[in-house]
Amino acid sequence: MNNKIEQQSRTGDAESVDHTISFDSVDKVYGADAVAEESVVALQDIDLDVERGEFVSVVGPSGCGKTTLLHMAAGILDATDGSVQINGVDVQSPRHERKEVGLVFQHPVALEWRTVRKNIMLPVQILKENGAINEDMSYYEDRADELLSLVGLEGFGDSYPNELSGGMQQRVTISQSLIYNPSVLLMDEPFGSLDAMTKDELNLELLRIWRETAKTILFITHDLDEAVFLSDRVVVLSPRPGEVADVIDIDLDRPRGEDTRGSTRFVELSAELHQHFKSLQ
Amino acid sequence: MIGSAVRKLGDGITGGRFSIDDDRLTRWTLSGLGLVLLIAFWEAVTTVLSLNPKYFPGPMGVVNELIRIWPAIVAALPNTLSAALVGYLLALALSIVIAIPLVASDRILNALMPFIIGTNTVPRIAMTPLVIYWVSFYSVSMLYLANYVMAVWVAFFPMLIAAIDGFRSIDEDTENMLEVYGATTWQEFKYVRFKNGLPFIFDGMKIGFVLAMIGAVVGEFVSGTFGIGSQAASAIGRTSIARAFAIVLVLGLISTGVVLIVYLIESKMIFWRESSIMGAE
Repeated sequence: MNNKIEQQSRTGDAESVDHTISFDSVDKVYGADAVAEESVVALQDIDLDVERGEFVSVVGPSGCGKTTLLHMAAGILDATDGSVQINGVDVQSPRHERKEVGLVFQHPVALEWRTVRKNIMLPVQILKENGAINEDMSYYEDRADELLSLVGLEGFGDSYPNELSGGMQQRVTISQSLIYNPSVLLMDEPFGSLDAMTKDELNLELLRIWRETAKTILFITHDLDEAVFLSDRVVVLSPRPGEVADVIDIDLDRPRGEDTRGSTRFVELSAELHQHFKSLQ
Repeated sequence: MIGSAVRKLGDGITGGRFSIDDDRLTRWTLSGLGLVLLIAFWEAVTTVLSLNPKYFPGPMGVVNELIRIWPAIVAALPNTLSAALVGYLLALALSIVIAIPLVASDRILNALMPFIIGTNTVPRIAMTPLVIYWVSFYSVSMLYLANYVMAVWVAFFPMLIAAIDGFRSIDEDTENMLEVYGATTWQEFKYVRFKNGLPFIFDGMKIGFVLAMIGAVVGEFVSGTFGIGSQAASAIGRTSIARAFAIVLVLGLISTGVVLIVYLIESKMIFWRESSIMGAE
Protein backbone atom coordinates (compact mmCIF):
# COMPACT_ATOMS: atom_id res chain seq x y z
CA MET A 1 0.00 0.00 0.00
CA ASN A 2 2.86 2.36 0.74
CA ASN A 3 4.83 1.44 -2.33
CA LYS A 4 4.36 4.74 -4.02
CA ILE A 5 5.64 6.65 -1.03
CA GLU A 6 8.66 4.42 -0.73
CA GLN A 7 9.59 4.36 -4.39
CA GLN A 8 9.30 8.08 -4.80
CA SER A 9 11.70 8.88 -2.03
CA ARG A 10 14.20 6.30 -3.28
CA THR A 11 14.22 7.62 -6.82
CA GLY A 12 14.46 11.16 -5.45
CA ASP A 13 17.97 10.31 -4.33
CA ALA A 14 19.35 10.35 -7.88
CA GLU A 15 21.85 13.24 -7.72
CA SER A 16 23.48 12.12 -4.58
CA VAL A 17 24.95 14.60 -2.11
CA ASP A 18 26.56 13.23 0.99
CA HIS A 19 24.99 15.54 3.51
CA THR A 20 21.28 16.19 3.29
CA ILE A 21 21.25 18.84 6.00
CA SER A 22 24.41 20.73 6.67
CA PHE A 23 25.18 23.55 9.10
CA ASP A 24 28.52 25.15 8.33
CA SER A 25 29.91 27.33 11.18
CA VAL A 26 26.53 28.85 11.74
CA ASP A 27 26.00 31.72 14.17
CA LYS A 28 22.65 33.19 15.04
CA VAL A 29 22.60 36.50 16.85
CA TYR A 30 19.29 38.12 17.70
CA GLY A 31 19.29 41.89 17.49
CA ALA A 32 22.64 41.94 15.69
CA ASP A 33 21.42 44.35 13.04
CA ALA A 34 19.68 46.62 15.54
CA VAL A 35 21.27 49.66 17.10
CA ALA A 36 20.46 48.37 20.61
CA GLU A 37 23.34 46.97 22.64
CA GLU A 38 21.28 44.02 23.72
CA SER A 39 22.13 41.49 21.06
CA VAL A 40 21.74 37.88 22.14
CA VAL A 41 23.93 35.14 20.73
CA ALA A 42 21.48 32.27 20.33
CA LEU A 43 23.74 29.84 18.49
CA GLN A 44 27.48 29.90 18.01
CA ASP A 45 29.68 28.08 15.56
CA ILE A 46 27.33 25.22 14.79
CA ASP A 47 28.81 22.53 12.57
CA LEU A 48 26.42 19.70 11.97
CA ASP A 49 25.94 17.36 9.05
CA VAL A 50 23.03 15.00 8.80
CA GLU A 51 23.47 12.21 6.28
CA ARG A 52 20.83 10.98 3.89
CA GLY A 53 18.32 8.79 5.65
CA GLU A 54 19.77 9.54 9.07
CA PHE A 55 17.69 10.24 12.17
CA VAL A 56 19.36 12.90 14.29
CA SER A 57 17.95 14.39 17.46
CA VAL A 58 18.96 17.67 19.06
CA VAL A 59 18.58 18.01 22.83
CA GLY A 60 19.48 20.84 25.13
CA PRO A 61 18.22 22.90 28.04
CA SER A 62 15.34 25.25 27.24
CA GLY A 63 16.47 28.46 25.61
CA CYS A 64 19.56 26.88 24.06
CA GLY A 65 18.39 27.61 20.55
CA LYS A 66 17.07 24.21 19.46
CA THR A 67 14.05 25.69 17.71
CA THR A 68 16.18 28.46 16.20
CA LEU A 69 18.39 25.76 14.71
CA LEU A 70 15.41 24.02 13.17
CA HIS A 71 13.86 27.24 11.88
CA MET A 72 17.12 28.06 10.13
CA ALA A 73 17.07 24.68 8.41
CA ALA A 74 13.45 25.39 7.39
CA GLY A 75 14.46 28.74 5.92
CA ILE A 76 12.19 30.63 8.31
CA LEU A 77 15.18 32.32 9.96
CA ASP A 78 18.40 33.58 8.39
CA ALA A 79 21.75 32.57 9.81
CA THR A 80 23.72 35.60 11.00
CA ASP A 81 26.93 33.95 9.85
CA GLY A 82 27.80 30.69 8.10
CA SER A 83 25.45 28.74 5.89
CA VAL A 84 22.69 26.18 6.19
CA GLN A 85 22.28 23.85 3.24
CA ILE A 86 19.69 21.29 2.26
CA ASN A 87 20.83 18.83 -0.41
CA GLY A 88 23.83 21.06 -1.09
CA VAL A 89 21.78 24.21 -1.72
CA ASP A 90 21.72 27.15 0.67
CA VAL A 91 18.21 27.39 2.12
CA GLN A 92 18.15 31.15 1.53
CA SER A 93 19.06 30.84 -2.14
CA PRO A 94 16.31 30.94 -4.76
CA ARG A 95 17.48 27.54 -6.00
CA HIS A 96 16.40 25.97 -2.71
CA GLU A 97 13.48 23.63 -3.34
CA ARG A 98 10.73 24.09 -0.79
CA LYS A 99 9.26 20.74 -1.60
CA GLU A 100 12.38 19.08 -0.20
CA VAL A 101 11.58 20.17 3.36
CA GLY A 102 8.69 19.19 5.62
CA LEU A 103 8.19 20.83 9.00
CA VAL A 104 6.25 19.47 11.98
CA PHE A 105 5.58 21.85 14.86
CA GLN A 106 5.08 21.22 18.55
CA HIS A 107 1.40 22.07 18.28
CA PRO A 108 -0.82 20.78 15.50
CA VAL A 109 -1.47 23.49 12.91
CA ALA A 110 -4.47 21.83 11.28
CA LEU A 111 -6.96 24.46 10.06
CA GLU A 112 -10.25 24.04 11.88
CA TRP A 113 -12.49 24.61 8.87
CA ARG A 114 -10.82 22.04 6.67
CA THR A 115 -11.40 18.33 6.86
CA VAL A 116 -8.44 16.12 7.72
CA ARG A 117 -7.96 15.23 4.06
CA LYS A 118 -8.13 18.86 2.94
CA ASN A 119 -5.65 19.84 5.64
CA ILE A 120 -3.26 17.21 4.38
CA MET A 121 -3.71 18.54 0.84
CA LEU A 122 -3.06 22.19 1.78
CA PRO A 123 0.71 22.26 1.11
CA VAL A 124 0.18 20.58 -2.23
CA GLN A 125 -2.41 23.16 -3.28
CA ILE A 126 -0.02 25.98 -2.44
CA LEU A 127 3.05 24.36 -4.01
CA LYS A 128 1.08 23.42 -7.12
CA GLU A 129 -0.30 26.94 -7.59
CA ASN A 130 3.24 28.26 -7.36
CA GLY A 131 4.57 25.73 -9.84
CA ALA A 132 6.85 24.09 -7.27
CA ILE A 133 5.52 20.59 -8.00
CA ASN A 134 4.45 18.99 -11.25
CA GLU A 135 2.34 15.92 -10.50
CA ASP A 136 -1.43 16.04 -10.95
CA MET A 137 -3.67 16.72 -7.99
CA SER A 138 -5.20 13.27 -8.41
CA TYR A 139 -1.77 11.77 -7.72
CA TYR A 140 -1.66 13.61 -4.40
CA GLU A 141 -5.24 12.73 -3.58
CA ASP A 142 -4.27 9.05 -3.82
CA ARG A 143 -1.22 9.82 -1.75
CA ALA A 144 -3.34 11.49 0.92
CA ASP A 145 -5.33 8.27 1.24
CA GLU A 146 -2.12 6.28 1.55
CA LEU A 147 -0.80 8.65 4.21
CA LEU A 148 -4.04 8.44 6.17
CA SER A 149 -3.54 4.72 6.49
CA LEU A 150 0.20 5.11 7.03
CA VAL A 151 -0.40 7.27 10.12
CA GLY A 152 -3.38 5.21 11.29
CA LEU A 153 -6.14 7.72 10.45
CA GLU A 154 -8.12 5.54 8.04
CA GLY A 155 -11.75 6.58 8.05
CA PHE A 156 -10.99 10.04 9.49
CA GLY A 157 -10.37 11.79 6.17
CA ASP A 158 -13.68 13.64 6.30
CA SER A 159 -13.53 14.50 10.00
CA TYR A 160 -12.71 17.99 11.23
CA PRO A 161 -9.66 18.58 13.44
CA ASN A 162 -11.70 19.49 16.51
CA GLU A 163 -13.28 16.05 16.36
CA LEU A 164 -9.85 14.47 16.87
CA SER A 165 -7.66 14.02 19.94
CA GLY A 166 -4.35 15.88 20.27
CA GLY A 167 -2.42 12.78 19.22
CA MET A 168 -4.59 12.30 16.15
CA GLN A 169 -4.23 15.97 15.21
CA GLN A 170 -0.47 15.60 15.38
CA ARG A 171 -0.74 12.64 13.00
CA VAL A 172 -2.59 14.96 10.61
CA THR A 173 0.26 17.46 10.84
CA ILE A 174 2.78 14.71 10.15
CA SER A 175 0.81 13.56 7.10
CA GLN A 176 0.62 17.16 5.95
CA SER A 177 4.40 17.45 6.03
CA LEU A 178 4.76 14.16 4.15
CA ILE A 179 2.20 14.74 1.38
CA TYR A 180 4.60 16.39 -1.06
CA ASN A 181 7.24 13.82 -0.25
CA PRO A 182 10.07 16.00 1.07
CA SER A 183 13.40 14.26 1.50
CA VAL A 184 13.95 16.09 4.79
CA LEU A 185 11.63 16.16 7.77
CA LEU A 186 12.23 18.79 10.46
CA MET A 187 10.37 18.10 13.69
CA ASP A 188 10.14 20.57 16.57
CA GLU A 189 9.16 18.65 19.73
CA PRO A 190 6.25 17.17 17.82
CA PHE A 191 5.13 14.99 20.69
CA GLY A 192 6.00 17.40 23.52
CA SER A 193 2.42 18.26 24.36
CA LEU A 194 1.08 14.71 24.33
CA ASP A 195 0.57 12.33 27.24
CA ALA A 196 3.22 9.66 27.83
CA MET A 197 1.26 6.78 26.33
CA THR A 198 0.31 8.59 23.13
CA LYS A 199 3.88 9.80 22.86
CA ASP A 200 5.32 6.26 23.04
CA GLU A 201 2.81 5.09 20.49
CA LEU A 202 3.63 7.91 18.08
CA ASN A 203 7.36 7.33 18.60
CA LEU A 204 6.92 3.77 17.33
CA GLU A 205 4.85 5.00 14.44
CA LEU A 206 7.36 7.67 13.52
CA LEU A 207 10.09 5.02 13.35
CA ARG A 208 7.90 2.89 11.14
CA ILE A 209 7.12 5.83 8.83
CA TRP A 210 10.80 6.76 8.74
CA ARG A 211 11.71 3.19 7.80
CA GLU A 212 9.04 2.99 5.12
CA THR A 213 9.68 6.39 3.56
CA ALA A 214 13.46 6.69 4.06
CA LYS A 215 13.39 10.34 5.12
CA THR A 216 16.21 12.29 6.68
CA ILE A 217 14.92 13.51 10.02
CA LEU A 218 16.16 16.30 12.27
CA PHE A 219 14.23 16.00 15.51
CA ILE A 220 14.13 18.48 18.38
CA THR A 221 13.14 17.25 21.81
CA HIS A 222 13.73 17.93 25.49
CA ASP A 223 12.99 14.30 26.35
CA LEU A 224 16.36 12.52 26.50
CA ASP A 225 14.88 9.00 26.48
CA GLU A 226 12.83 9.83 23.42
CA ALA A 227 16.00 11.07 21.70
CA VAL A 228 17.86 7.85 22.51
CA PHE A 229 14.97 5.67 21.46
CA LEU A 230 14.51 7.30 18.05
CA SER A 231 17.91 8.45 16.86
CA ASP A 232 21.06 7.35 15.10
CA ARG A 233 22.85 10.25 16.73
CA VAL A 234 21.95 12.67 19.49
CA VAL A 235 23.38 16.18 19.42
CA VAL A 236 23.64 17.91 22.80
CA LEU A 237 23.53 21.71 22.71
CA SER A 238 24.97 23.78 25.54
CA PRO A 239 22.95 26.72 26.90
CA ARG A 240 23.51 30.34 25.91
CA PRO A 241 25.16 30.57 23.55
CA GLY A 242 24.05 27.30 22.01
CA GLU A 243 27.04 25.29 20.90
CA VAL A 244 27.40 21.64 20.01
CA ALA A 245 28.62 20.23 23.32
CA ASP A 246 28.46 16.53 22.43
CA VAL A 247 27.38 14.14 19.75
CA ILE A 248 26.45 10.67 20.96
CA ASP A 249 26.13 7.71 18.61
CA ILE A 250 23.18 5.53 19.41
CA ASP A 251 24.15 2.00 18.39
CA LEU A 252 20.90 0.30 19.33
CA ASP A 253 19.69 -2.34 16.86
CA ARG A 254 16.93 -1.48 14.42
CA PRO A 255 14.09 -1.92 14.02
CA ARG A 256 13.44 -0.73 17.53
CA GLY A 257 10.30 -1.67 19.39
CA GLU A 258 8.66 -1.85 22.79
CA ASP A 259 11.43 -4.01 24.21
CA THR A 260 14.20 -1.61 23.14
CA ARG A 261 13.50 0.61 26.13
CA GLY A 262 14.07 -2.30 28.46
CA SER A 263 17.42 -3.32 26.95
CA THR A 264 20.66 -2.85 28.91
CA ARG A 265 22.21 -0.79 26.11
CA PHE A 266 19.26 1.61 26.08
CA VAL A 267 19.59 2.15 29.81
CA GLU A 268 23.35 2.71 29.47
CA LEU A 269 22.99 5.21 26.63
CA SER A 270 20.20 7.01 28.39
CA ALA A 271 22.32 7.26 31.56
CA GLU A 272 25.26 8.53 29.52
CA LEU A 273 23.12 11.19 27.89
CA HIS A 274 21.65 12.29 31.21
CA GLN A 275 25.22 12.54 32.53
CA HIS A 276 26.31 14.75 29.62
CA PHE A 277 23.26 16.84 30.10
CA LYS A 278 23.86 17.35 33.80
CA SER A 279 27.45 18.41 33.21
CA LEU A 280 26.15 21.32 31.12
CA GLN A 281 24.24 22.92 33.94
CA MET B 1 -31.16 23.43 37.53
CA ILE B 2 -33.76 25.81 36.18
CA GLY B 3 -33.11 24.42 32.75
CA SER B 4 -33.74 20.86 33.82
CA ALA B 5 -36.91 21.87 35.66
CA VAL B 6 -38.22 23.64 32.58
CA ARG B 7 -37.18 20.71 30.48
CA LYS B 8 -39.08 18.28 32.69
CA LEU B 9 -42.09 20.52 32.38
CA GLY B 10 -41.61 20.69 28.62
CA ASP B 11 -41.11 16.94 28.32
CA GLY B 12 -44.32 16.46 30.34
CA ILE B 13 -46.21 18.53 27.80
CA THR B 14 -44.52 17.32 24.61
CA GLY B 15 -43.86 13.78 25.76
CA GLY B 16 -40.11 14.41 25.42
CA ARG B 17 -40.22 14.66 21.64
CA PHE B 18 -38.21 17.85 21.54
CA SER B 19 -35.07 18.22 23.49
CA ILE B 20 -32.90 21.27 23.87
CA ASP B 21 -29.78 21.09 25.96
CA ASP B 22 -30.17 22.22 29.57
CA ASP B 23 -27.62 24.96 29.33
CA ARG B 24 -29.29 26.84 26.52
CA LEU B 25 -32.73 26.40 28.02
CA THR B 26 -31.50 27.81 31.32
CA ARG B 27 -30.17 30.86 29.53
CA TRP B 28 -33.39 31.41 27.60
CA THR B 29 -35.53 30.94 30.66
CA LEU B 30 -33.48 33.40 32.68
CA SER B 31 -33.49 35.95 29.86
CA GLY B 32 -37.28 35.73 29.54
CA LEU B 33 -37.68 35.99 33.29
CA GLY B 34 -35.40 39.02 33.45
CA LEU B 35 -37.37 40.80 30.75
CA VAL B 36 -40.74 40.13 32.39
CA LEU B 37 -39.44 41.31 35.77
CA LEU B 38 -38.03 44.49 34.29
CA ILE B 39 -41.30 45.39 32.57
CA ALA B 40 -43.29 44.58 35.70
CA PHE B 41 -40.93 46.77 37.76
CA TRP B 42 -41.34 49.65 35.27
CA GLU B 43 -45.15 49.39 35.38
CA ALA B 44 -45.11 49.11 39.20
CA VAL B 45 -42.90 52.18 39.65
CA THR B 46 -45.08 54.38 37.44
CA THR B 47 -48.24 53.15 39.19
CA VAL B 48 -47.01 53.22 42.80
CA LEU B 49 -45.40 56.63 42.47
CA SER B 50 -48.42 57.72 40.39
CA LEU B 51 -46.12 59.41 37.89
CA ASN B 52 -47.64 61.65 35.25
CA PRO B 53 -47.97 59.38 32.18
CA LYS B 54 -47.36 62.42 29.98
CA TYR B 55 -43.75 62.57 31.20
CA PHE B 56 -43.14 59.06 32.57
CA PRO B 57 -45.30 56.59 30.64
CA GLY B 58 -45.56 52.98 31.82
CA PRO B 59 -45.08 50.03 29.48
CA MET B 60 -48.80 49.75 28.82
CA GLY B 61 -48.99 53.38 27.82
CA VAL B 62 -46.04 52.90 25.44
CA VAL B 63 -47.62 49.84 23.82
CA ASN B 64 -50.93 51.66 23.37
CA GLU B 65 -49.15 54.61 21.79
CA LEU B 66 -47.23 52.22 19.53
CA ILE B 67 -50.44 50.68 18.25
CA ARG B 68 -51.93 54.14 17.70
CA ILE B 69 -48.99 55.53 15.70
CA TRP B 70 -48.12 52.26 13.91
CA PRO B 71 -49.10 53.53 10.42
CA ALA B 72 -46.89 56.61 10.88
CA ILE B 73 -43.98 54.43 11.96
CA VAL B 74 -44.43 52.11 8.98
CA ALA B 75 -44.40 55.14 6.69
CA ALA B 76 -41.24 56.56 8.25
CA LEU B 77 -39.25 53.33 8.57
CA PRO B 78 -38.13 52.67 4.95
CA ASN B 79 -36.05 55.87 4.75
CA THR B 80 -34.26 55.19 8.03
CA LEU B 81 -33.80 51.49 7.43
CA SER B 82 -32.38 51.93 3.97
CA ALA B 83 -29.89 54.53 5.25
CA ALA B 84 -28.87 52.22 8.10
CA LEU B 85 -28.72 49.04 6.00
CA VAL B 86 -27.03 50.49 2.92
CA GLY B 87 -24.59 52.39 5.12
CA TYR B 88 -23.92 49.22 7.08
CA LEU B 89 -23.23 47.04 4.04
CA LEU B 90 -21.08 49.73 2.49
CA ALA B 91 -19.06 50.08 5.71
CA LEU B 92 -18.69 46.31 5.90
CA ALA B 93 -17.46 45.99 2.33
CA LEU B 94 -15.07 48.93 2.79
CA SER B 95 -13.72 47.57 6.06
CA ILE B 96 -12.78 44.24 4.47
CA VAL B 97 -11.38 45.70 1.25
CA ILE B 98 -9.26 48.20 3.19
CA ALA B 99 -8.14 45.71 5.86
CA ILE B 100 -6.51 43.43 3.25
CA PRO B 101 -3.67 45.75 2.13
CA LEU B 102 -3.20 46.94 5.71
CA VAL B 103 -2.64 43.40 6.96
CA ALA B 104 -0.60 42.45 3.89
CA SER B 105 1.85 45.28 4.50
CA ASP B 106 3.16 46.05 7.96
CA ARG B 107 4.45 49.38 6.72
CA ILE B 108 1.07 50.66 5.58
CA LEU B 109 -0.51 49.36 8.77
CA ASN B 110 2.06 51.05 11.00
CA ALA B 111 1.67 54.28 9.07
CA LEU B 112 -2.13 54.33 9.33
CA MET B 113 -2.80 52.69 12.68
CA PRO B 114 -2.58 55.90 14.79
CA PHE B 115 -5.14 57.50 12.47
CA ILE B 116 -7.47 54.48 12.58
CA ILE B 117 -7.30 54.06 16.34
CA GLY B 118 -7.62 57.80 16.85
CA THR B 119 -10.66 58.10 14.61
CA ASN B 120 -12.22 55.07 16.25
CA THR B 121 -11.82 56.72 19.64
CA VAL B 122 -13.34 60.13 18.88
CA PRO B 123 -17.12 60.41 19.33
CA ARG B 124 -17.81 60.22 15.62
CA ILE B 125 -21.46 61.07 16.16
CA ALA B 126 -20.35 64.59 17.13
CA MET B 127 -19.45 65.14 13.48
CA THR B 128 -23.13 64.90 12.46
CA PRO B 129 -23.74 68.64 11.92
CA LEU B 130 -20.55 68.90 9.90
CA VAL B 131 -21.50 65.97 7.67
CA ILE B 132 -24.92 67.51 7.08
CA TYR B 133 -23.33 70.86 6.33
CA TRP B 134 -21.07 69.31 3.69
CA VAL B 135 -23.82 67.26 2.09
CA SER B 136 -26.02 70.36 1.90
CA PHE B 137 -23.25 72.03 -0.10
CA TYR B 138 -23.49 69.18 -2.55
CA SER B 139 -27.26 69.16 -2.82
CA VAL B 140 -29.92 70.44 -0.43
CA SER B 141 -32.62 68.35 -2.08
CA MET B 142 -30.59 65.22 -1.40
CA LEU B 143 -29.91 66.06 2.22
CA TYR B 144 -31.08 62.56 3.18
CA LEU B 145 -27.74 61.33 1.79
CA ALA B 146 -26.21 62.70 4.97
CA ASN B 147 -27.95 59.91 6.88
CA TYR B 148 -26.25 57.30 4.66
CA VAL B 149 -22.91 59.00 5.15
CA MET B 150 -23.45 59.07 8.92
CA ALA B 151 -24.29 55.35 8.96
CA VAL B 152 -21.05 54.53 7.12
CA TRP B 153 -19.00 56.99 9.15
CA VAL B 154 -20.14 55.66 12.52
CA ALA B 155 -20.10 51.93 11.65
CA PHE B 156 -16.92 51.74 9.56
CA PHE B 157 -14.05 52.08 12.01
CA PRO B 158 -14.99 49.41 14.56
CA MET B 159 -15.62 47.01 11.68
CA LEU B 160 -12.28 47.93 10.08
CA ILE B 161 -10.48 47.25 13.36
CA ALA B 162 -12.34 43.94 13.71
CA ALA B 163 -11.29 42.91 10.19
CA ILE B 164 -7.67 43.91 10.80
CA ASP B 165 -7.58 42.00 14.08
CA GLY B 166 -9.25 39.03 12.43
CA PHE B 167 -6.89 38.81 9.48
CA ARG B 168 -3.89 39.21 11.76
CA SER B 169 -4.97 36.61 14.29
CA ILE B 170 -3.14 33.60 12.84
CA ASP B 171 -0.71 31.93 15.22
CA GLU B 172 3.01 31.90 14.70
CA ASP B 173 3.22 28.20 13.83
CA THR B 174 0.66 28.58 11.06
CA GLU B 175 2.53 31.60 9.73
CA ASN B 176 5.79 29.63 9.75
CA MET B 177 4.09 26.69 8.07
CA LEU B 178 2.87 28.95 5.26
CA GLU B 179 6.37 30.33 4.89
CA VAL B 180 7.84 26.83 4.59
CA TYR B 181 5.42 26.07 1.75
CA GLY B 182 6.35 29.36 0.13
CA ALA B 183 2.78 30.73 0.24
CA THR B 184 2.30 34.15 -1.35
CA THR B 185 0.50 36.93 0.52
CA TRP B 186 -2.64 36.27 -1.48
CA GLN B 187 -2.44 32.54 -0.71
CA GLU B 188 -2.11 33.38 2.98
CA PHE B 189 -5.40 35.23 2.76
CA LYS B 190 -7.11 32.72 0.54
CA TYR B 191 -6.22 29.65 2.56
CA VAL B 192 -5.98 30.99 6.11
CA ARG B 193 -6.59 34.64 6.93
CA PHE B 194 -10.11 35.06 5.50
CA LYS B 195 -11.59 32.05 7.26
CA ASN B 196 -9.57 32.63 10.39
CA GLY B 197 -10.78 36.22 10.59
CA LEU B 198 -14.48 35.38 10.24
CA PRO B 199 -15.29 35.23 13.97
CA PHE B 200 -13.80 38.72 14.43
CA ILE B 201 -15.59 40.06 11.37
CA PHE B 202 -18.94 38.72 12.57
CA ASP B 203 -18.39 40.27 16.00
CA GLY B 204 -17.70 43.54 14.21
CA MET B 205 -20.86 43.09 12.13
CA LYS B 206 -23.01 42.74 15.26
CA ILE B 207 -21.77 46.05 16.67
CA GLY B 208 -21.66 47.53 13.18
CA PHE B 209 -25.38 47.38 12.50
CA VAL B 210 -26.27 48.96 15.82
CA LEU B 211 -23.81 51.75 15.08
CA ALA B 212 -25.10 52.25 11.53
CA MET B 213 -28.60 52.58 12.96
CA ILE B 214 -27.40 55.18 15.47
CA GLY B 215 -25.68 57.08 12.66
CA ALA B 216 -28.78 57.10 10.46
CA VAL B 217 -31.16 58.05 13.28
CA VAL B 218 -28.96 60.84 14.63
CA GLY B 219 -28.48 62.04 11.06
CA GLU B 220 -32.26 62.43 10.84
CA PHE B 221 -32.42 64.08 14.27
CA VAL B 222 -30.15 66.80 13.05
CA SER B 223 -31.06 67.09 9.36
CA GLY B 224 -34.79 66.75 9.92
CA THR B 225 -35.18 64.65 6.77
CA PHE B 226 -38.21 62.39 6.86
CA GLY B 227 -37.67 59.16 8.75
CA ILE B 228 -38.14 57.53 12.10
CA GLY B 229 -35.31 59.52 13.66
CA SER B 230 -36.91 62.87 12.81
CA GLN B 231 -40.27 61.47 14.05
CA ALA B 232 -38.65 60.69 17.41
CA ALA B 233 -37.09 64.15 17.55
CA SER B 234 -40.40 65.86 16.87
CA ALA B 235 -42.19 63.60 19.38
CA ILE B 236 -39.79 64.73 22.09
CA GLY B 237 -40.17 68.32 20.91
CA ARG B 238 -43.90 68.05 21.46
CA THR B 239 -43.39 66.21 24.79
CA SER B 240 -45.04 63.05 23.47
CA ILE B 241 -42.79 60.92 25.62
CA ALA B 242 -44.81 57.74 25.09
CA ARG B 243 -44.38 58.20 21.35
CA ALA B 244 -40.62 58.67 21.68
CA PHE B 245 -40.46 55.50 23.78
CA ALA B 246 -42.54 53.62 21.21
CA ILE B 247 -40.17 54.68 18.42
CA VAL B 248 -37.09 53.72 20.42
CA LEU B 249 -38.72 50.35 21.13
CA VAL B 250 -39.24 49.73 17.42
CA LEU B 251 -35.65 50.70 16.63
CA GLY B 252 -34.39 48.42 19.39
CA LEU B 253 -36.42 45.49 18.11
CA ILE B 254 -35.16 46.01 14.55
CA SER B 255 -31.53 46.16 15.69
CA THR B 256 -32.00 43.07 17.80
CA GLY B 257 -33.56 41.30 14.83
CA VAL B 258 -30.64 42.15 12.55
CA VAL B 259 -28.07 41.14 15.17
CA LEU B 260 -29.94 37.85 15.54
CA ILE B 261 -29.85 37.28 11.77
CA VAL B 262 -26.10 38.01 11.71
CA TYR B 263 -25.68 35.57 14.58
CA LEU B 264 -27.61 32.87 12.72
CA ILE B 265 -25.54 33.34 9.57
CA GLU B 266 -22.41 33.24 11.71
CA SER B 267 -23.40 29.97 13.39
CA LYS B 268 -24.00 28.45 9.97
CA MET B 269 -20.78 29.72 8.43
CA ILE B 270 -18.45 29.19 11.37
CA PHE B 271 -19.36 25.62 12.13
CA TRP B 272 -16.04 24.90 13.80
CA ARG B 273 -16.59 26.98 16.91
CA GLU B 274 -19.43 28.32 19.00
CA SER B 275 -20.64 31.79 18.10
CA SER B 276 -21.56 34.47 20.60
CA ILE B 277 -24.61 36.65 20.11
CA MET B 278 -22.88 39.63 21.66
CA GLY B 279 -20.05 41.12 19.67
CA ALA B 280 -17.10 42.41 21.66
CA GLU B 281 -16.59 46.16 21.56
